[in-house]
Amino acid sequence: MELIIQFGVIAFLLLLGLVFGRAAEQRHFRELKQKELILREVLVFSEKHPPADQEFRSANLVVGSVVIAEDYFKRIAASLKSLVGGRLTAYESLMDRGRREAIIRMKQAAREAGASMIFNVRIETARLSESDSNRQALFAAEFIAYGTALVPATRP
Amino acid sequence: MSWENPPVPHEVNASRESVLAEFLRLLAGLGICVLALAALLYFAGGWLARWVPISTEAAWVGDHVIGLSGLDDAPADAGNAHILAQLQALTARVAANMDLPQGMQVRVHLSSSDVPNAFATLGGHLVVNRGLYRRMPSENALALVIAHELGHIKARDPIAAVGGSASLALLTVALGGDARSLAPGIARLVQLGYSRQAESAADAEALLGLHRLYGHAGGAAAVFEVLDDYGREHREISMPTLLSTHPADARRIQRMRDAAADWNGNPPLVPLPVEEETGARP
Repeated sequence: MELIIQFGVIAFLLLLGLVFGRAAEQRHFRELKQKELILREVLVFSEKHPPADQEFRSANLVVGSVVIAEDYFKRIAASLKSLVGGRLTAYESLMDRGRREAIIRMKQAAREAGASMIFNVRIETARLSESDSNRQALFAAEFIAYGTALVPATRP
Repeated sequence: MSWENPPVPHEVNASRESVLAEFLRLLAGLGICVLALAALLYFAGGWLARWVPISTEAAWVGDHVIGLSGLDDAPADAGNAHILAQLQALTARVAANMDLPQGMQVRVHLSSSDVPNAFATLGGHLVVNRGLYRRMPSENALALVIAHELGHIKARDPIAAVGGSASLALLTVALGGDARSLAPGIARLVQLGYSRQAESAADAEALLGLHRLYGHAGGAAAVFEVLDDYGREHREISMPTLLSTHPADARRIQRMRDAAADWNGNPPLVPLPVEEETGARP
């Protein structure tokens, strides 16, 4: 009986994570597509040196950061997958969402500053969890994108 | 030099394969692996347990039948003592005709339960219910039951049943489960009956022993008729062990009849002494 309740709770949490986690993820991907389209005018580059043939009025540091948590389904699916190895697709989509969202937020900051380009863009990831010893600790990751936003001297 | 950004690719960094399908596939795979391991442990555990010497098994179990209450090890009244003595004598006679391995000691116990049942359990213990003794139409029928249970002991079925289950319990612990709640179930498992194969083997042994003892296998089928009647009367969920999980009863009865085909009623069946009514004592 105890075992059945335990399995029932796990199954319920899995279902919860699956339904809400998937819905959230799909919604997020749709939003990402939209925002990326809107913000296409702000260019991002990992190149360190700004182009020499253009003049800029100012250079600002811009940062975009986002924290994304896994859902219960992702955790169980990933722990199952880690038994046999291979692509952790459950987390791949999560990391992809985080990076793209961070860049979008950084671009938004740049646009507010009037910049047309961001150079020397870097992305960093940090894992947030209560403690490593606790197996139940939630996996959540913070994604930070930062770079140097360049405001053109003359607005096109 | 032109500076531009291509559109962000949507399929490169994140797979669009269904995570759910993969999860279900992996879960099914894991389930199959665990089941296979459990089956392996169950059968290998049972197979290994048969190699434990009977003396070790008997020493481990001791003088008491485990997991059973209401057992009249020390009969309170003369009637019980009388029946127990009868059973012991009959068991000794049957055992002498069963080619038991050397050192295999069988200890008979009488249980006061009125359910017609008998079972062999760990440590070479054989328990016969009063209800069975009372209903047996002849000594031959009772001898068949005893011989059947001796067949189980000879084949080491009780410890094989526990051996496999014990391994399963260990697997449960290994997987992070709580096996303590399983312990009483395991103790009872011995009484739940064995595989059809084991039952058929015990039946064959029993018929052989019966044939050697009396020169014929007459009266054997009566055992299953009695049990069948009881089962039909009571319609209980918990059927007597002798009956449940066994080869289909009709087939079993037929087998007993076939074994007794060469018996024409001569020599006659040996009657059982009439049981003294224990409740009639002042």
